[in-house]
Amino acid sequence: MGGSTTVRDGTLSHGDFVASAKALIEKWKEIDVDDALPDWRWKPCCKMGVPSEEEGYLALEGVYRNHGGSQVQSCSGNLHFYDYHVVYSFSYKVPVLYFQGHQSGGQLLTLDEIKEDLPSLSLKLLGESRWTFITREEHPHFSRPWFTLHPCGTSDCMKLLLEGMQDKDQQVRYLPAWLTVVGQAVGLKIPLGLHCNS
Amino acid sequence: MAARAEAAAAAPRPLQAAAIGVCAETGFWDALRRLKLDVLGTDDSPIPITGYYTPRQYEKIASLFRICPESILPPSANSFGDRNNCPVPGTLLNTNNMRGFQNLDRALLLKAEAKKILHDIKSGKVEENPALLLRFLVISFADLKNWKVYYNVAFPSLIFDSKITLLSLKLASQVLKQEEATSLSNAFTEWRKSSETTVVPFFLINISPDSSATIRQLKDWKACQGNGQKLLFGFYDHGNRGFPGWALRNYIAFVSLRWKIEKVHFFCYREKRGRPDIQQSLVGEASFPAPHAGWDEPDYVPEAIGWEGETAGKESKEMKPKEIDLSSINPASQDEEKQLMHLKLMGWRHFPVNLDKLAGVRCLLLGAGTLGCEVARLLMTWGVRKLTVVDDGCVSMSDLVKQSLYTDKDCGVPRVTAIVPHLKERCSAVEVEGIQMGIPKLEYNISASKISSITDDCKRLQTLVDSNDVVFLLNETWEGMWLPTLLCADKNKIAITVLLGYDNYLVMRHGAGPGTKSGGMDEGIAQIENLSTQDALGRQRLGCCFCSDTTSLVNSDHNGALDQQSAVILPGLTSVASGKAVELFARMLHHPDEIHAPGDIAGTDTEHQLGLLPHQMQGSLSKCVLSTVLCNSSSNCIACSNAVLSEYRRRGFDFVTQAITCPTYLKDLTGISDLKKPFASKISASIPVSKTSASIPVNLEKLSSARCLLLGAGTLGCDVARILMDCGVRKLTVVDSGRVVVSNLARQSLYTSDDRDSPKASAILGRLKERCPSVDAKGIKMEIPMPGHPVSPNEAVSVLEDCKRLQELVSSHDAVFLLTDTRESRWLPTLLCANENKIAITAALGYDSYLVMRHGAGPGTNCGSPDVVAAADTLSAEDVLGRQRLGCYFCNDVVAPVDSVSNRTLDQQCTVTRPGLSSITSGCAADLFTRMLHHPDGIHAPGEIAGTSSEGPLGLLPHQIRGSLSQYNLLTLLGYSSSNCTACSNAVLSEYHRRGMDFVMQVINEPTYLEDLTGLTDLMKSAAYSQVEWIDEVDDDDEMDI
Repeated sequence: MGGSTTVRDGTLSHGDFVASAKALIEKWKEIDVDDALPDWRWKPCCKMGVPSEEEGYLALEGVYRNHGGSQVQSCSGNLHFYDYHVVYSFSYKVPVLYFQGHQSGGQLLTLDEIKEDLPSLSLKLLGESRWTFITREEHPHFSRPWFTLHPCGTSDCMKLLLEGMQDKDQQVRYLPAWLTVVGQAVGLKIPLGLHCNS
Repeated sequence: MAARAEAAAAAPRPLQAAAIGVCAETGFWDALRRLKLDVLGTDDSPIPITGYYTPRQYEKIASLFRICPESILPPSANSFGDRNNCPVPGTLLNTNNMRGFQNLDRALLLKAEAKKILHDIKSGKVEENPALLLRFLVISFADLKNWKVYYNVAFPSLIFDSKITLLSLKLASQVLKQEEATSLSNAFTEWRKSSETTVVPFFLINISPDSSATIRQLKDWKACQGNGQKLLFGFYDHGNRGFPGWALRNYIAFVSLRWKIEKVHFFCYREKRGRPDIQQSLVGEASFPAPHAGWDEPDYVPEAIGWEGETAGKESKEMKPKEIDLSSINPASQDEEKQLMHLKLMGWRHFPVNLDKLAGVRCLLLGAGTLGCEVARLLMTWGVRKLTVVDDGCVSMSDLVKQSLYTDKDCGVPRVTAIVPHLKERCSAVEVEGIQMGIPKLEYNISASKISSITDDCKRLQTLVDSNDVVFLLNETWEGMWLPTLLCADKNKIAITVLLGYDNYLVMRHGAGPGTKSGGMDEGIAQIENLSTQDALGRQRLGCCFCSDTTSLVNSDHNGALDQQSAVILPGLTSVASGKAVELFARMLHHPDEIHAPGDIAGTDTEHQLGLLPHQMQGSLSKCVLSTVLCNSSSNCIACSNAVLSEYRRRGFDFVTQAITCPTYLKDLTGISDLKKPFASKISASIPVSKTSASIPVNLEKLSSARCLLLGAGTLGCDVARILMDCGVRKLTVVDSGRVVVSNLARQSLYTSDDRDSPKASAILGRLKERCPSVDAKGIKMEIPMPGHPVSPNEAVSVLEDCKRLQELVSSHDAVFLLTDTRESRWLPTLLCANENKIAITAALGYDSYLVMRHGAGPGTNCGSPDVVAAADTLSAEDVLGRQRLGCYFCNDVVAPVDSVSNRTLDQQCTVTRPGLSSITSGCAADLFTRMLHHPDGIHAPGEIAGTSSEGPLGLLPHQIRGSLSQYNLLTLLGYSSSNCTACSNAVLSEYHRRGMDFVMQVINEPTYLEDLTGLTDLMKSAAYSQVEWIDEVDDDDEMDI
C-alpha cells in the first residue's frame, strides 16, 4: 500500500524504479522494435571499483538516425547517433531522461541540430507542452552536461496519466507510460508492444 | 546481397576488407584537453589509450569503433568493457602545435605500430590477448587555445611480399547445414553471455561431424586439432556489406605466420539486436602463402597500410585531418577555463600555480581609487575570485584617465558601487562586494560628534579584516593605514601596503603578529609580558609600514599638507607599484610559511621557481632604481608593537578611539617621546618614501601635441595607451589585427565583455574616449608584416600594401611604441623608425622579466656626395648631431628575426607572463617616453646609467631598463648601434633606401638574407665576437637596509 501511495501522487520510489527498469529490459527483448533501436541496458555505478546493482541508470545507446535523406542508407557520414539515459532523481522522486547526440565521427550535436532530426510531432510537443522542455544539465554520473527534459512537471503529468488505473498495475506501468510521453518529445518511438501484457 | 556474395566466389582475387569507421567522441578530446593542460604540459610523448570494438549491431549500418572519455584512462585502470565494447590497445600521439602535427611522418609511425603487432604475433602474445591484432594509432593536435582538435586514426594492417587472396566468400546460411547453424548460434549466445569471452574479438569455431559447434579461444588452439572437424577462424565483423571487415587482414596474417596455415577458412560474425545473425554473417576462404625469409628477424619492420581514408592499392595522398569542435562542451565554464589558461600554462615550463588556493583566498582592498582598480584587476588575472573593496569616495572626472576601470558613466557614482560591475564584466566568475565606508584615520582634529560613527566604522573594519585572508592597504595616506595595520597584526592577517610618492613608491608586506608566551597571568598588567617578541613560529617578526617611520610623529602638525601633496603622482607609477604588489602577494601565497616567511634581499639566491620573496621594495621611477629592504618589527612601533597590541586587546575600541583623537597618546605608549632626540638624526635615512612635490613644470603642450603610434592593442597596448593619456598625450593611433576574446578581459585593462569578438583596433577607441573625451584616437586593423612569415603570391599585394601603410603611419607620427608579442613583429617598425629618425620605444615581456628601451637615432648623412647611386657612402656612422648612435632592440642579436610561433608549444605561443609584469613594463615605457620628450636633445639624448647624476629635468634618461620579478633587480643598460644589426645598421638602411619595399618583401620571405647582408654570417663563421661593437655597462643598485 505504501508503494501505491507514492504512485498515486505521480511519483515513483527508487526501489520501484530499479525493478521497473529491469522488467523493461527483459520486455524490450521480446517485442518487435524498429531496426534502429538497440536494447536497453542497466548501467550499474561503481563504488570503489565494485559495481552496485542497486545504483545505476537505464541506457539506450547508439540509436541512429539518417540525417539528410534516407536514400543513402550505408553512408555513415550522414548518420547521427543518440544515447538516452534514464536516471532516477531523488529530489523529484521521478525518472529523468538525459540524452545527447553526435555525428558518426564523434562531434557533439547542438540542440538545433538535434531538433532538425526530430519529427514534427516532437517539435510541436516541445513548443507547446509545459511538461516537456529541454534544458542542459550536468549528467549525474558524468561530469559533462547532457540535454535533459526537466523533471519538474513529471509527477503532475504522470498523476493524470495513471488516473483510473488499478493500484496494482501502476508500479509496473509507470515507466513504460513515462517513456512513451518523454519519448515522443525527443523523437524516440516506443513500440506499443511494451504496454501489452505478456 | 546473396547475388553479390555469389559473384564474389566466382574467381580468386585480392582480399577486399571494409575499413573501420571511428567515432572519437567529444568527451574523449575534452579529457585529452584537460590532461594536456593540467598534467602533460609540453610533454608530447606517446600515450597508451584504449578503444572499443564491437561486431555489427544493425542490419543497415556498420558498427563504429569508439574512442570515448574512458579511453584515456591508463590501460591498467581501465576495467570498462562489455559485449558491445571490446577493449583494444592503442597509441595516441598529440603534438604541441599544428606544424608538428602536419610534419609527422605518418608512414613511419604506421610501420612502428605494425612492428608491435608483428612482435605480438611472433611472441604468442596475440593468443593471450587477441585484441592486439586490432592495435590502433591516433595522431592529433589539440588546439587548446581555440578549443579544436585535429586528428587522424589508423588501424595498421601488415603488408608482406606475399598477398592475401580471397578464394571464396558466401553467406554463412548458404554454407552451414541447418543443424550446424543452430548449434553455432547457440554457441555464440553463450560466448556473448560470458563476460570473459564476449570481449574477445578473435576466436576459433570448431564444427564436429555430428554438426555440433563449439567456440574456443585462440590459446586453445592445440585442443582444436582433431579428426574430421571443420575449423573456422572467427572474428567480430564490424561491417554490414558483402565483404569482410578490416580486422580479418591481420587475423589471416597471424594464422599464417604463427600456425603455418596457408589456406584460412574464416567466419565473419555479425549480430542483429544482440543476437547472432547467421543470415548476414559470412564464411570464406583466403590464401596467404608464407612470406619470403626475413620477416621473422628481430629487427624486421613490416610495411603497413591502414590510415582512415587510405585505400589499399592506391598511393597515399595527403591525408586531410578530421576536425572536432570542443566549444559545444560545457559552454558555461568555458570562459573561466579560458581566463585561467595562462596560469596553467605557467606550470608547463615554470612553476605550477596553485589555482585552488588563489581561487579560495579572500582579499580585502582598502581603497578603490587608482591603486585599487589596478590591484583588483591584476588579482583577477592571477585567478583570485573573492574580493571585497572598501572606499568612501565617488568617481570624479579627473579619475577617469588614472583609474583603469571607471568610465564617464561612472562620474558621481560611489567608487565601490561603480567598481563591482566593471570587475564582473571582465571576469564573471569573480565574487566581489563593494562597501562604502571611510577608514578611520589618525585624525587629531576630530570632533566629539564624530566619535560614535568612527567607533562603528572601526568595528565594521574589524569584521572585514576578520573575514578576509589578505588585506591590501591602498588608501594612499599614512594616517589611514594605522588602524588596518593594527587589526592585521592582531589577527595575523597578511597585509600588503602600497604607498606612492611623487616619483617613488614603497611596496611591502607586513610581518606576522606576535606569538604568545605560555603560562601568562590573567591580570591586565601581565598582558604585555604574555606577548612574545617573536611570531607564532618563533621567528623574528618583520616590520610593518610604521616600524621605520618617524615622520608622522615629528611632523604631525603638517598632516594636512601631506594629504594634498600625496595626490600628485607621476603617471605610470601606479602601474609599476600595483604590479609589484600583486606579484608580492602571489609569491607569498606560494611560500610554505606564508605570512611567517622570512624576507629575501636582492642578490641572494633562492631555489623557489617564483624567485625571491622580499619584505620591502623601494623604488624610484625617475632614478630607475629598485632596492629590497629588510626591516624587523620595532618595539616602539605605533601600530604593531607588543605595547600597542596589548593595549588594544585589553581595551578594544576605547583604545582605538583614544589613539585616534589624542595626538600624543601613541607616542607616549610606545616610548617614542622619550627617544625623540636620538631618533632625530635618523629621520632622513628612515623615511622610505619621499613626499617632495613636483617642482618642475611638465610641458603639457609638448605632450598633448605629440603623435603616438601604438603597435599592439593587447595587454601592453591597453596599459600604455591609458598611461599616456594620463601623462597628457592626446593624439593616439593604435594598430592591431586581433579580436577581443574572453581571456583578454581581465588582463587587458580597457576591454569589457561588451567588446568580445570586436576588433581590438576599434574596441579600444571607445574605451579611450570614455576615459578622456578630448583624446584624438584612431584605430587601424592591420597585421604587421613579419620576417619569417613567408607570403604567397596571392597575399603579396596586400602585404605590400600593409608595408606601405605602416611606413606612412611611422612618417606621420612622432613616436612609435612597439608593444607586440613576437620578436619578428618588431623588425619592420624598427627599420622604419631608424630610417625616419622617429622615437621608437620597445616593451618586451619574458615570463618574469621585462625590457623597456628606446631605440637610438637614425644615421646622419655625410656631406658632399650628391650621387644617389652611391647612397651607401652617404650614411654616417653617427647621428645627425655627430654623436654615437644608441642601439635598437636587435643590435645585440646575432640571429635574424624569424617565425617564433609555428614551432613552439602553446605556452610559448601565448607569451605566458606573470600577471603583474605588464603593468610594471607599461609604466616604465610611458615614463621613459615622457622623459625623452622633455630632454632638449630628444631622440639624440645620450643614455644614462642609474647611480650617475641626472642631467634631465625629470630624472634619469636611460637607454635600456631591464627588470626581473624573481630577482627583484632593476638594471639600466647602455648599448650602441651595431654595424651588424639586422634592423638599424647602415648596411640595412642603405639597402632599404636603394630597393625600398622590394628589400622588405625579400626579408619577409628569406629572413636569413639579413644575416648575409649585415655580415653576421661571416661574423659567426669567424667566431670573432670581439669585433661586435657592443658596450655593456650594468649598474645594479640593490641596497640592503636593516
